[in-house]
Amino acid sequence: MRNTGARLSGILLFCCAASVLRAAEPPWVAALSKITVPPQPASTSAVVLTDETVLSVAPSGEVTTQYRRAVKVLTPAGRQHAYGAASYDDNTRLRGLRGWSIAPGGKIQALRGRAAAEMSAGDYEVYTDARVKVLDLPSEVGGIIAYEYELREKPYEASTIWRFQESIPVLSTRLEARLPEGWTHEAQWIHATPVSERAGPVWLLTDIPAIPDEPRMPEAASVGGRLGVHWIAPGGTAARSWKDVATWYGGLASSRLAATPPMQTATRTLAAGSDPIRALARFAQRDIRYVAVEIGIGGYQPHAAGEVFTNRYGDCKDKATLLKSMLQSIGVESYYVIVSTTRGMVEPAFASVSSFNHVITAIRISKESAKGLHAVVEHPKLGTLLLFDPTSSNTPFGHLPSYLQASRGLLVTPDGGELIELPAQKPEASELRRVARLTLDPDGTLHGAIQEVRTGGLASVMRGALQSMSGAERIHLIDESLASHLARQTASGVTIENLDDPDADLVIKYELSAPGYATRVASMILIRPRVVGTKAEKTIVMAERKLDYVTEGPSLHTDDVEIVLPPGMMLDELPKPVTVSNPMVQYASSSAFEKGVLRYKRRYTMQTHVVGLASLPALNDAFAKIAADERASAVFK
Amino acid sequence: MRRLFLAATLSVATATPLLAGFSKQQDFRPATAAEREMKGVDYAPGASAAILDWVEVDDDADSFSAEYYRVKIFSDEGKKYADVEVPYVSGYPVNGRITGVSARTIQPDGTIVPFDGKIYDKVLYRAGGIRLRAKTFSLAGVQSGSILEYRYQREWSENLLINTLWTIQREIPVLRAKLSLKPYNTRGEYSSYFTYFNLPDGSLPVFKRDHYELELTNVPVYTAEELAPPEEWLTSRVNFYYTNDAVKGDQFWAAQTARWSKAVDGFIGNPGALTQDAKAMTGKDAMETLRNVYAKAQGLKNLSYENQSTAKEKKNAAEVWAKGEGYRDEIVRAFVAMARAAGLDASVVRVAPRDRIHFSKEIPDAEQMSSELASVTVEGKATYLDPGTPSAPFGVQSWEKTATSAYVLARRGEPSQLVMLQNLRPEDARTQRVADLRLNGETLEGSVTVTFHGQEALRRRLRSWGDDDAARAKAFEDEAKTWFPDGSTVKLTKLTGAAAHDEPVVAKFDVVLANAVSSAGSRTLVPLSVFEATAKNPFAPATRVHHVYFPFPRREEDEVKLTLTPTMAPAALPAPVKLNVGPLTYENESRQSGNEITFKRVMVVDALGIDPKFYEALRTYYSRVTSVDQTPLVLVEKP
Repeated sequence: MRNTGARLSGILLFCCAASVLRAAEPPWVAALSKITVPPQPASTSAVVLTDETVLSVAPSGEVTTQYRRAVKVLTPAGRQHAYGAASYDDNTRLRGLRGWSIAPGGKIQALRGRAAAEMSAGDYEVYTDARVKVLDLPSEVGGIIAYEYELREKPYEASTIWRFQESIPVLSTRLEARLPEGWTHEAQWIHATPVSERAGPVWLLTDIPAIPDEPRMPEAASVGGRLGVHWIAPGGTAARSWKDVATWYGGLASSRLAATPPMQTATRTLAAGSDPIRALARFAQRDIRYVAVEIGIGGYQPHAAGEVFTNRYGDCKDKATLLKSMLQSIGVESYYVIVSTTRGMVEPAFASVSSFNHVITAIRISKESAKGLHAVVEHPKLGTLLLFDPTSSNTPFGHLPSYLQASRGLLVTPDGGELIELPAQKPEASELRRVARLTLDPDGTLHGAIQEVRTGGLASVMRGALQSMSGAERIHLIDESLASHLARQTASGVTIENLDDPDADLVIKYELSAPGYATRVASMILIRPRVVGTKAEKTIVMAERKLDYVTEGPSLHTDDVEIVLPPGMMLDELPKPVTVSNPMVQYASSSAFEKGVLRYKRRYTMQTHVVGLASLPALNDAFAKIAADERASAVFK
Repeated sequence: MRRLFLAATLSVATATPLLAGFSKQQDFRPATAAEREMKGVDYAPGASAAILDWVEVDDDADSFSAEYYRVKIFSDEGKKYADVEVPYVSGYPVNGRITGVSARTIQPDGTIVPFDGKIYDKVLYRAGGIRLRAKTFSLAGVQSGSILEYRYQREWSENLLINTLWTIQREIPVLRAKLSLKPYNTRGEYSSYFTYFNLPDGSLPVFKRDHYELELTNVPVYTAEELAPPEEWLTSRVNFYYTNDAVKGDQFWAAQTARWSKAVDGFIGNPGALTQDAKAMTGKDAMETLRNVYAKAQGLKNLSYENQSTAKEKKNAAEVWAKGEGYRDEIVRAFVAMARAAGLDASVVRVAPRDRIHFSKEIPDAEQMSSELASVTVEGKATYLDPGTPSAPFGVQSWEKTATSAYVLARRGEPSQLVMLQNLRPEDARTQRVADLRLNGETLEGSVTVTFHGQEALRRRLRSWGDDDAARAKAFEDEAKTWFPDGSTVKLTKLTGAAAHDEPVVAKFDVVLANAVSSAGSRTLVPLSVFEATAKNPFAPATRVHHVYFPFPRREEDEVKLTLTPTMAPAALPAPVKLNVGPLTYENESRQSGNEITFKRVMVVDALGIDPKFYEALRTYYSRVTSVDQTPLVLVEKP
């Protein structure tokens, strides 16, 4: 599905020959030099002086957008904001793109749109008609860049999401709508304190702080302030509801569901086994290659199921459509669920299709068959629904990718639809079980077998990393990982089981040799019983932390290490057992020495996807204790 | 694959008719039983796909190129090779186009899925006169075990000569490549050259009647490795290009250096124009004069390092000095002009920077020598200077302009001299790190002073060139944080020399090292080599394909003073350690004085390249260094 909000990401700014405009600059540009920037934090590299959007809505629903923006560069790093960009596609007319660069001394240089570089706005599609024009505006510290353009389009829905908070402070921003006679509107503030609107309507905001840039923060787009507005034509009943959005999408997609004879034949064959739903889901997930072709309404509307089946490729909505059609052929009901891959983007109080960028499937199953499946929701009318993402090729059947858990999706049903909560899976659904059976030689070399078993989301992530590697690169990855824990090491006999089978456990086995593992200090021999693996995450600097913390998701990790020591080694001291327990993390480790064998066991559980700001000190404390346990050594003589 | 690159525009359009077409070897053909049963490639285990056959027919006489690919898919990951993107330059003067696209998928059972989908025309980049587009399409019915076949032709304006680049090594193995090129007959008006890099022994393009042919089998995948030479040194590729004149290969460098010399002489102009300025720089002897001129040149604004500079190139050296600015080579030439005006024997030196290529005199490509230095001879000794690199200390070239080939450009038609520029010594890139720490519970707290000399100072200055103080401070703090355990606090308190060119860079920090202290029952373990205690062996992989390549020799000197609490004492001091492998050496020692422990560590790398046959010894050496640096000081409570 097309995600217009992400079109500018990753775009390289190319220099191009300036096409200098000789006409006098407009008054709004001439006035920019007079704006005084109030004192900013030292880390502020640039500020938005003004950002203005004027929407003129025609009775036909066509919208003309006039956009103006000016940025003042405060530091050399602020030059990255010195460009003008306009996104458009085949259904959008872009006019009047031009920009200005104002030197600190006030000299103004103008560039016309012909100086802009044009690029495809897509980075994952085989083809998209979405394009972007970028004006690379000369800038220096203390200087100002400004640009403006006009867009004319007929949007798919009569609503606007105005994202007014950015990665740099905004001194002034304004949204104005010019509506035809009789039109009304309804506004919804998201992550922001409501501001009174003026006649027009016009919304004016000033002195908006930057969205903080913090490690492991939620996606900036999901925490930034925004205003959603529905434009309501005369006779329109009310603002659009989620049911309206679902109905629109259902209508768009329903014509694409017809099954072709070859599809029906294949469906019968695939469904002949004991678990037809799983077989069809796996076909859509594994045998249909992800290929996105998005042109016009194709950003939302799927290709026909038969076409997807024949080509054996399609994007997320194509895969969901094919699966829905095949399930329908065997009498199993399923539904589209429109979702965002960014948690927090969907605001229940404001219904809009532009909140989403992805489509998955909800399959109606019996309560009994839901046993052992994790991505299950109970719907009051539809009963038990299994959520399945056929685009995520490594996510096991019965699971949801981590980025979709604890989020919201729009369930599209025959009578409309509704927003539903996507479940967070339990830690036990995503495990890493490490077992090490090792021997310490008298010269201090540690050697033996290590087995790592990953399930659920942890297996999915590791599969994704390994599949794109050659055999040699996979071994290098293991070597690099071991080197983070061991000064000297070699992994040999590496085997990887079930790499391409997402429904099976991913098993990695290798033989470890680590010369000099035991450290002799005076009469003592130090042995770290943990050997490999890290659970503690990086310490969160709390001084200026403002946002929640995003974890890798719920998971359960266990280590079971046995080290057979050389005869005659006498235990002096063992590391103390460590226990950590709070609502986010539980951790317990213990060491024992018996009959010449040093044993270390630990169990680490991460319970949540997101840790709230107030709980971060406790999380830091937990990680510090875990890190200390990971460094601790046993002493022998 | 063709590199769409405008080499030269012929003054007269060719009269040759367009005869585009595919060769018989580019025809689609059924899969053999062996191909259908293939599960992988022996010499590339784990490969997701392989190119079974790549046939490229390039015809410069008729301005077209035809390519055929036959790709076997081994795993789901390899299905991505069914998405094809063929870039081309559509605008004037190339007016390129892609024609004759056809494709099909051969299923593992031999059935054929023809490609009848849409071919899209995508804008990759369009600005000014540049029009870069791509034809994109996706093959249907692809599954693990499929064989993909596709072919297309690329055409361009008849009156253009376009260079050819065959990138032999891909991210998947190439089992057979058959490449041919029919050059344009320039009738002696222009020359053309073939260059080869890293082709297997005995594999060279062979001239047959009117075209060159190159056939290769079992081409390995390029493997990227840490601390390896630049990729351009290592990958297999073939270039064919035309030049603007009729110079033959064995006369190439003589002719090219003569061209450069003429251009330099023209830019420097009459040294007399700078005589008055030069007088003001005259010192008590030639060396002092040279230092004065160099300092002035370093004071020029270097436009090559300015953001988005649109300043025009200067006409001559006098203009550079008059305006106080120039691009990097203009500054080198302006420096040489001023040095000559001051009575010094100065020359411009054309250099092959080794961060990009490994110079070969046998390759007639002027692009190899893409940088400039200055050489000034004082009392019979040549000093190489790098005025074109901002903040380069006197006598220190940026590392890529050391230990590489260079031409000292002669004056007035004399032959230029090919020289090998000296390598740096470890002392020319010295880092001193001094920590004064005290044990406070579970943390180490105190101050750290780091002094970067020579090349190391230059690297830090260039890293932050153009940054403001806040960004520069952050860069130094971020670097220091990489030395210490996660969770440590590092605050820069003073920074000197970051904007100068002739003094070391000195950074002082206040630090609190968290997660550094650990326990062994009732004992406390403290790192002594605090700057390296969390470092990992840079050569973790057990195997190595390419040479190990250190950009330049260097020397690290660490000193750590650790003050213990009065109640604690070391169980024992670690014994001194000395390690070496060839030109790489390491030594440390610890001393105790009262409740202060002082740890000293010196590590020297005095090598550039190390053959992979010595990799195991090198890896063992580094693993021992890592092990020694991680050896803790064991503290016990005093009785």
